[in-house]
Parts: sequence; structure tokens; C-alpha cells
Amino acid sequence: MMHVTSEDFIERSKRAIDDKQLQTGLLIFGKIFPLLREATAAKLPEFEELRDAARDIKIHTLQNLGTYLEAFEARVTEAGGRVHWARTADEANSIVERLCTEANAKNIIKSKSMVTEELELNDHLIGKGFNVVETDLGEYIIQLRKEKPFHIVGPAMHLTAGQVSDTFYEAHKPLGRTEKVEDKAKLVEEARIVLRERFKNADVGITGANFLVAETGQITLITNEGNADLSATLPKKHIVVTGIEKIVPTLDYLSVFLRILARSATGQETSNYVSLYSGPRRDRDADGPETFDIVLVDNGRTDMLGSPVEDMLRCIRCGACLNGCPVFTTVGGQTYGSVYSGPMGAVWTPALASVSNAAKLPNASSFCGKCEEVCPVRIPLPSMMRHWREKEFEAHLTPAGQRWGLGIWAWLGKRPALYRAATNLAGIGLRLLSRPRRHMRMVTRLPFVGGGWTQSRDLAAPTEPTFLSQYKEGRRR
Amino acid sequence: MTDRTSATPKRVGLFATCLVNTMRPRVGFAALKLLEDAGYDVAVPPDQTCCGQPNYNSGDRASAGSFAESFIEQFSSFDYVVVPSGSCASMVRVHYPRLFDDGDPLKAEIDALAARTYELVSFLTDVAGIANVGAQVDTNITYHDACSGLRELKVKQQPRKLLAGMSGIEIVEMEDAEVCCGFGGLFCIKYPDISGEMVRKKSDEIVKTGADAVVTGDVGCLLNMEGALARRGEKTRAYHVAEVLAGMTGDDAS
Amino acid sequence: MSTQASDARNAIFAKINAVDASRNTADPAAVKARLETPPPQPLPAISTPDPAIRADTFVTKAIELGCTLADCANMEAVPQAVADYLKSQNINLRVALPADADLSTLGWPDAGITITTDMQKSALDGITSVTRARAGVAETGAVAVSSSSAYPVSLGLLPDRHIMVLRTNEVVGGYEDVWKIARAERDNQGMTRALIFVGGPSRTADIEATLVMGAHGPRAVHIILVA
Repeated sequence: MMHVTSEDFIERSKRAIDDKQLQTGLLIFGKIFPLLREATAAKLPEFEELRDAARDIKIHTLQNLGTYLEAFEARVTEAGGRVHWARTADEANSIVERLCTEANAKNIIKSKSMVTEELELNDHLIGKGFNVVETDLGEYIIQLRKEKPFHIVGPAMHLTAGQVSDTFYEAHKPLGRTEKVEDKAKLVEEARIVLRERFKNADVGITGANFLVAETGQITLITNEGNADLSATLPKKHIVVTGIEKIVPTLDYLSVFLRILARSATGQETSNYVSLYSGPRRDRDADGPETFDIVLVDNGRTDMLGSPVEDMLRCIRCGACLNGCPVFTTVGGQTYGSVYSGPMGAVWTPALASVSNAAKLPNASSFCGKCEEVCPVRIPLPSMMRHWREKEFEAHLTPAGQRWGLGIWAWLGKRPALYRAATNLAGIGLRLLSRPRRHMRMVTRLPFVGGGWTQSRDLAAPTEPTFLSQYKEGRRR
Repeated sequence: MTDRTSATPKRVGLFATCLVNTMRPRVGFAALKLLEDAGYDVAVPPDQTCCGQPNYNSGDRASAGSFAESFIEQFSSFDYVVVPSGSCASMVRVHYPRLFDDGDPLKAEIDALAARTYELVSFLTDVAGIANVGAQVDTNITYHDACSGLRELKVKQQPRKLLAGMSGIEIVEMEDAEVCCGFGGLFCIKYPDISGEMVRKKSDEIVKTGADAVVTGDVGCLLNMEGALARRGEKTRAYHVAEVLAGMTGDDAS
Repeated sequence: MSTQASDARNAIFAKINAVDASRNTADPAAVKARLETPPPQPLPAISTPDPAIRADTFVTKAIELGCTLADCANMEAVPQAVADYLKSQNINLRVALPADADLSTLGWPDAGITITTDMQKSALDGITSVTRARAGVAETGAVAVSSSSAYPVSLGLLPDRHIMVLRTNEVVGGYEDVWKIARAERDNQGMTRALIFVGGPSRTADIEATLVMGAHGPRAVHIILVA
């Protein structure tokens, strides 16, 4: 089960709001990326049709998941690869550890894989004595800084070049680099030089997979840097760790996703490297790994199947929901205390980590619906967050005061005369708490939970009796 | 598309909503005026209460169902139910049907009632066929697209169309008009820091337009933006779109 | 498969099958039919450009992706085109060439170019490679390459500069055209190990969202389009 620290969400959110640098970093995702997405989507007349097709493909695939997984496994095996199945994070980590140990591996390179972060695979392997280095530049930076990702697509975007410079200077000194570089292009160059040695010395390359193609047994790796391709080509062993829900039926279906993924994620028409890998090095190949292992991970996904949150399995990890979310773009990914943040994290985290551990996340939403509006595969995210809230309510995890208040409200709802009396009283109460301000009467401080309101704003008190009572008295205009 | 051509006026049940009822009664009277001017026979069932959205969004599905049952009792006799709130209207229209399984004895009735329940402004334009409310106002305004009405009911052009038809008005669009103001029902008091930051950003955008007033279709959003602007000492007013369309924006009446 | 391995596999399939049984939407026969004869999906117009403008569309988009391009009348003129490119970039006239009959028989020394055929990863830093490509994709401007004895994948990733030689009649419309090629080249060991759509030089924007070319892969991609 995924480990999270989501219960500290509110505390961290306060710090995030006051963090000017973080807020600047969030503008990139909150303002720039949505504009890029809109512009690129507008240039493709078939964009909405493709979103519908993508959603339908995923629905069909999940309804036939077993058959597609069997077909995928057969094709991979025919091509000389091996498929492993992991029910839990522990099982997956043990499988990867065993594969690395069997190969007498010491140095492991990784390309970006959210599921390996979910499994905490790096910690497991490092604990067993392996060297593990992330090769995606953003992931490498946060690995050095021991931080969680700021955003699913740009994990280090909250940092300044100065901070990256400090991190590189400290981390690369033992490698003999003495000069501290500040310029962004020079920092990228330094990472290129340092990581190139890692690429060349690696015994094992671990990647994720953006998609799995059942027809052909291929995995897809999509990056802008090319680090996944190096990880899949240079080391003698290529291990793919991926969730079972990544599967699509055929290459023709894959095209649909290739057309909406980059557009939704970054507003690019295509990512720089879109690559399909099918197995180990063949007789006809000049290079490539000697072995090809795919670890198919369940870790809670089969529980989501057939449940009210099944639609979340359609997720293609584009990050568009994060960029559209007014909550995410106010607090950033590290506030969530989970590998998966934003709206998709609010649904995935309770599924993978348990409702009680992740209770804050599905509640930290105003249900504005922007996430669902931009999701390329049309996942009804607010409905699924509501499902988790229902589960919390059933399990009495909702705070007692809130439960009590809701109970009273429902009780009043069935007693219209009492409802009217209560709302009349509330209006009178607010009027008493208010003071005149120009043409209105404003309450500047409310007691109890109302303090949350008046923390940031006044409340205009009603200056007349309720609508229903006035209507009853005969007023019509 | 209009149904004002029938000899007997259609009967509309006005669902005031809790926030209109308690916090902004004038909006209820504005809605009444707009609907009667449009030729409808409007009644206000006296035993109406809440749509149940606070319970529904808090995960208390059972209570939401009981609110829905009360709603059926109060409103099932009407040709239309009209609601001066996007979020309450969508609670009925979009979500009530989801509260009842296919086998439930009330399923057919709730589906039918939901299908004839409308948010106020989109009712006027899309069902009543009103192109112009024929009123006048002397102000420049900016419009905030409240989330539920926008995304669940596709209310976007309708309020702008009717507002634009008013003589004397000038509409200045704000940046990020579609971005959530931070109200979100109970969200604003459960996550007050985030909500406060969201309404701060919204207030910035409102003030940047230089408009005299911000107008929206939901009283929750209205109170949120109005309160934030007041806290900052801004002179910008806040109105519900019904108040503006009905010419009820004077300071004397509340 | 070990007992634990088959236990895991069985357990996962058991859960999937239980869900299928509860809702009766699975249709294995239909799935098998789909896999054997993949039905076409909605195609955007950009994936099927008019053949008359296909090559030009590819060129325009490849440039947008950050590639440079040069035209060549025939394969024999390629070495000179490479030399011209290297001189324009102030780089020495030395390239790494794979074991590709299309390229190795060309007149490199006449163009003043020294060839190295050392494909070891240690030898590929800082150099320029010249390879063939499998297809140019007009839909995106990317160039598709496929691993083979004539295309070591590392030759398109480790060098500083990657020059790809592409015939005009190898420019296709969209992804579907490349799938057709890839399926036709399937053999008893399956699909090609690596099929890569290269969309220009390697890049990153991971630091302050500033775009920098030459992240881990080539800093520059040059396409020589042979008529």
C-alpha cells in the first residue's frame, strides 16, 4: 500500500500559499500550460472526437482487461521477453530486486515512472545496496534533493536555477567537478555529462511504460529528453515496471492516445521521442539489452476495476487536470503528500493508499469541474472524489462536527416549518452580528467554523426577512 | 424556441434555494418578476427547503436522497421548476437522477422532474425564448461564470445575451472569468486558506476590469466575491444576474 | 514460472474474472477478432495529407520541431551534402557510420569526410552520426527509425549531432502508415526491437520551464532529403 502524508495537507497548503517562489513556479502550470493546451487543441479539428474515441477505447479495454493482458503477455514472450506479475508493491519490488541480483547488477539507471515512485522502488533497491540514478532531469534533481515531485510532468519546476546550481555543486563535487554553474543551459550540460557516465556504466535500465500494446507486445516510452531510450538500449538488462491498466488493444488505438497525450500535457503536437520497444536484442539488431522483463503491477488496480472509481484507470498521466485545478495551482504537488497530486491524485491516492490515510485529498476540492473538462479521456473526476467522500462518511471518518451539522440539516429538511424558523433565526443572527458599511451591513467576524469565511472576507448580512416569509406575507415584487 | 404561444400559461414552481431565501431575498422577487413578465404562472411552494447539495457533496448520500424526495413532493405538479442558482439547479437536474437506482419506484418521476428543472437565465433564453428583458441599467459590469452552471448546465452565453440587450449596460470581460471563485459550498470553510487565495485572485481580476459591479448566477459565489471585495475596501458592487435583469439593483431594497 | 509467480498471476486474473462475471460485458471473441484485424480509428485530416504536398508538409513541421534540412538530388550526392552541413557548423569532417549498405558504399573520402565504424558507446560522445531513417511523418514532422543491423539505436542517441538520410518517397502521412511498415517487417521474433519517432534534437524544460536543447540525446538533428 502506498505511503502518504496527506493528513498534513492543510498545514502544508498554508506554507505553499505564502511561498512566493512556489507561486511563481505554479504560474507555469496554472497559466502557461493551459494556454498552450488550448492553442494546440484548437489547431486540431478532430481533438474532441479523439477524446471521445480515447475514452471509449479505455472503457472497452477495461471491460476486457484479462483477454488483452493475456494477448500482451503472449506477444512479449514470443519476442523473447519475460512477463512478471505483482499483486503488491512488495511483490513488485522483490521481483525487480531479484532480476537485478541475478544479473550481478550494481548500477541502475531509471527513466521517469510514476508507478515506481508509487512502489517506492528506488528506496527498496538502494536499501539492498544498488546504486539507482534517475535520468529524467527533473526527477534527477528531486532525487538529489530528496523531495517529492512538484508536478507529474515537471517535478522540479518549483526550484530556481540557483537552487539547482547549489544542488548540482554539492552532489557533483565527489565526481571531480569543481566549478559552480548558474546558467540554465550550462546546468543542463552538466547533467548531460554526469548522467552520460551513468548511462554508460549502468548494468540495468528500469523504465515505466506510457502504454502497452496488446496486438504486438510493445511498450511505448514517451519523453522529450531521450533518457528512456538510452535506459532501454545501453544497459544489458531492460526492466519495465508498469500498471496493468496501461494496456491498449492495437497500434491503431495507440495512435488516438499519441494524438491527445502531448497536446493535453504540454501543448506540444508530439513529444520529442515517441518510442516502441518489443523485447530484447534480436539477431538482426546491432545493439540493445540482452534481456527484457516487464513487471505488470496490480497494487490496488484490480480493486478499482468494477468499482465506482474504475474510470480513473483510464488516466494517461498527462497532468492536464493538475494544470486546470484552482486548488493544485494554488498549493503545488508537494502539499498533497502523495506521489499523485492534483485531481487525479485525489482519486488515485485513496484507491492505492486507503481512504483513511488520504482523507484530506478528495475533500480539498470545490468541485468546479475544470479537471473533468480538460481530461483527455473524460474521466468524471469530481464524481469519483465524491465517491471517496461517501466512503469516508460511511466509515465515520468525516469530522464529528461536520457529521452532526449535516445530520441537523437533513433533519430540518424534512420539517419545513422548523427549516423556515431556523433560517429566519440565522438571518436575524447575522443581522445582529453585522455593522453598517456604506449601503450594506457586513459581518466581519463569524464564530466557530464561520471563522474560516471571515478569515479572508466579510459577509453581507441580509437586511430583510427571508424570501419565503415575505412571500407568505404577500410580497410579490 | 418558445412556449409562450399556448393559451393557458405554463405553471412554474420557483425553487428559491437556501442562500437566496436567507441571504438575498430580493433575488427571489427578481426571479418572480422575470418569470411572470415572460408569461408564466408562477407559484412558490411554501414547504420547500434545500436541494441537499451540502449533504450530497459531503458524502451523505442517504440524506441527499431524502431531500430529493421532499423536492418531488413540493414540485412534481409543475410544468417547470425554475431555480435562480446554477449549482442548485444542477443538483436537481444532473444529480437527483443519480440518487435513484433503476429499480426504485421514484426513478421515473425524478428523471422526469429533473428534466423539467432549469436554471433561471437559461430557462428564459432557451425555453421561454426571451431575447430581451427590455430593461435598462446604467452601469458597466463584469460577469463571473459560476462553475456548476457553466460546466454542468452549459450556462455561458445566455446571461451575457440578456445582459447585453439591456440599454445602458457595458460588459467588460474579466480574465479567468471561468476560474472558480473559491466558494465551493462547504469547501470555503473546510479549506479557508486555499479558498481565501482563490477569491483573492478572483477579486484581482474583477478590480482590473474597472467594472462598477460583478454579476453572477449563484448567490454563494456572489457572497464570496462581494465579501472579499468589501474586505479589501473596493467599491465594486456584486449582483445576482436576476437582480440586474429585473432592474432591482437599487440600494433601497436591501 | 515459479509457484509464487503463478500464484500472483492467477490471483490477478481471478480478480479480473470476478469483475467480468459480475457484469457480463467481457467479450473475448470480439477482442480476438480486433487483435487479428485491428479496426481503423478516427483519423485526423493531418495524418492523410494530399500526396502533392506531403513532402513539403513534412519539411515544414520538421523545421518547427527544430530540425534542419537539406535537399539532395540522389544518394551519390549525400557525402557532399554532409560535408557542406558540417562545414556550415564549423565541425570537423568526421562521422560515425553504421553497417548500412546504402551509406557505406558512398564516396565519403571524395567529400573529404573520415569515417569511423566504431559503435562502442565510449566512442560516440561528441561526434556526428549519419544513418538512414525508415520514414518521415508529415503529420508531426518526426522521423521514424527502426533498430536493425544497419541502425544501432545508440547511434541516434549518443552522438552530439545526428544526420538522417531520408528519401522523399519515404515520407508518409501519419502514424498509421508507419504501423503498416512496422507490421510488414514483423518476423518470427516479432516487431522490431525499437521503433522510435524522433521529433528533433533532444530537449528539456525542467529548469524554470526554460527550453534547452541537447538534454541527453543529440543537440542537433539534420535531415538530408534525397529526391
